[in-house]
Amino acid sequence: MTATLEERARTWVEEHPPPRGAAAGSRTPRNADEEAEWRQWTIDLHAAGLAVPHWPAKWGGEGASTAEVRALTRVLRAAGAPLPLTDVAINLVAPAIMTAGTDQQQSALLPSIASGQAIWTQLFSEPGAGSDLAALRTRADPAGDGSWVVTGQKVWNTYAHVAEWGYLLARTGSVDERHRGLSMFVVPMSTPGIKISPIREITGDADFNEVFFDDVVLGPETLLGAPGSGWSISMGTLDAERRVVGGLVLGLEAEYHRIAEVLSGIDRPGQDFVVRLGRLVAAIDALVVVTAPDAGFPDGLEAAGKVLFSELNLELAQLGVDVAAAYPDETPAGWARRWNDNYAYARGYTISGGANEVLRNVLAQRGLGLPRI
Amino acid sequence: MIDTSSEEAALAELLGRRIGAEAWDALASDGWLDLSPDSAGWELAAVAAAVAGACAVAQPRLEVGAHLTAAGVLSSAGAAVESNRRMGVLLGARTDEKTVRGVAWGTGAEVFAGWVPGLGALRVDARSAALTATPLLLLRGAGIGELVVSIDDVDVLAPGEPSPLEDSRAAFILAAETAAVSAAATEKTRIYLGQRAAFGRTLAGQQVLQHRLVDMSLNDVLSSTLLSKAAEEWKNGNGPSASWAAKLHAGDRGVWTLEQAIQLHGGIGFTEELGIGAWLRLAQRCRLLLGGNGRAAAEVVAATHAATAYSPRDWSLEFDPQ
Repeated sequence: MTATLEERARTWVEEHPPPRGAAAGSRTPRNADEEAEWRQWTIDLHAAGLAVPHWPAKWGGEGASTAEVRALTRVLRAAGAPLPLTDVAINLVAPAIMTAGTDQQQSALLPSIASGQAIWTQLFSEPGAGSDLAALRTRADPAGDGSWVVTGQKVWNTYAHVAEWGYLLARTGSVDERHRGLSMFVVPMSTPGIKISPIREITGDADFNEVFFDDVVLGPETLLGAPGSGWSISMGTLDAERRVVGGLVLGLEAEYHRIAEVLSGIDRPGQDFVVRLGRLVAAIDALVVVTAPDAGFPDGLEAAGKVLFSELNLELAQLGVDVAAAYPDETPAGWARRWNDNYAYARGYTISGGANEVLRNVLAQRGLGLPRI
Repeated sequence: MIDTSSEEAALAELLGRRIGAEAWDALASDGWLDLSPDSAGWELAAVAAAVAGACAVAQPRLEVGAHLTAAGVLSSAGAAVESNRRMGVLLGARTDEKTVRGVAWGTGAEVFAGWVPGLGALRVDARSAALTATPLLLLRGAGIGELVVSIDDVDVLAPGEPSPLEDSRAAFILAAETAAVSAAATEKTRIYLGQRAAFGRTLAGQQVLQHRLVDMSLNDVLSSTLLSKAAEEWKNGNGPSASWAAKLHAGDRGVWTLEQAIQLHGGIGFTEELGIGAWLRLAQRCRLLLGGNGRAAAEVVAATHAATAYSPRDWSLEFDPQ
């Protein structure tokens, strides 16, 4: 009988420790050695068929169901496996290429994502356009021969320092056109004129980067979709967004199991810790249900997944830190380091992907029908 | 998610403007009071408790949740459900040589049923019980009282010890009621914010109030999700732990949501006339009964630990950060 995805994952994680940098708390490689190890781990994950099983067979997947993918993800998160370096490519870029790309773009770009060879970075946010993405100013102007000349600056670009490809949202119309004047490009990061500079965060690591474009010339084949369609492409498919948040929520589930295990091994653990964990377990369990791609929030409340995930993640990380401080002899080696790092990184999720305050505006207006402010 | 909207609509229509005994009789004649969660399905039990709970402003004595929980007690003891009488349930009961005492949920009931450690499943005729109101302002009018009855006046239906199912059944019903009143209060608040103007615009146009309403709604979504999950889990044998999770969230966050509903209504929210206070007391009832948040959280954490069936090697704890 053929092994299920979940069974294959269990076997795989026992044989494949996470890359050293990831196990020590980093989200991206910090040096060349870590990068080499992490790339190989990512490629191995793909080769085992555990990275894109939900993709159609023609692009290297096996058409796995949502339930199968979630079971697989649970195993990976429970084993402390990090996200592969290809997670931006898999979850954000590939769905766009599958729906908006030409046959040529699909043939050229999807195989290297499916094999885990190509790392992508998302080039959307700018110093003056974060949650208000439609205000972005990086320009892509036609050069007359079908090519485009890009000038501007992007920021908060995960993986940019190791990526082969960039997923660029740039302005091809006027600023007054807001979201209607944006177009999407697929950019080789080795193109002359691109400069990458790391940003050190409160975690102590540099997961994010700034990316500068100085008269970067892109060929006509780099335009994804029609000119002016960048905004609708950037919004992605609802299914892809839910898959990303749903995967992150399954990570919370794995983490609360870890804390439950520690508290259950302590004679008379503090009531405060138990109540806090119980509350988090209940809320996270509910979030696991409503972020499943085939379930979902009521209409208009989809952005709630990110709001709830990021805030529960922060609460859980604070609990992990507090448990480490209260029970230093009962927590495993590495526990305090792990949870302190989780806490520092969790602080960023309430800002990234649309600040929670902005998303609450969206939820109020689209979900509850309250007036636009 | 389980869709019970047609049952909810049917029940709401049935109750309509009926109040008091007339409402109870209508429920009885339509079969809603014959439900036992174990036999009729947890979705329907949740609907009945929820809709009746949401009617609690006008129907303080429409204790369908208590009635259905008592029905579960009788079923588990192998006794007939007394659907022609108002039933209440005895929670946290204990006994000495002379008396049985515990928390009675469902004041106004004619019969109480409950499991008592060391005694078994019992039935108490309310006329023989010394029922006194608990002197807690928080639960005033919330259908809670302290029941004290002579041991000679109880009928022991089945000897034995209560199973953990008994309390978790009550937890489920309490969660159903509270999720419903919380959602009703959120909707009532949404409508009010759209009608009331201040400083030249409706309250609904104030960002800080919008965000508060969003958080109330998100809590409601999670509460109803946990309730649906618990209803489903009863079929799979995991109903108790899922019900404790539903109770913990519905009671805890329901109290917060109802506090916000009162706050966002301003002064009128603080009046008994508006009725949100009655809902708040139902949410407090959910939060406080059966050992409060501490008990519910302990049940959830214990079940979570027990459910860790697969523990892979956790590599991330083996690496030195350097």
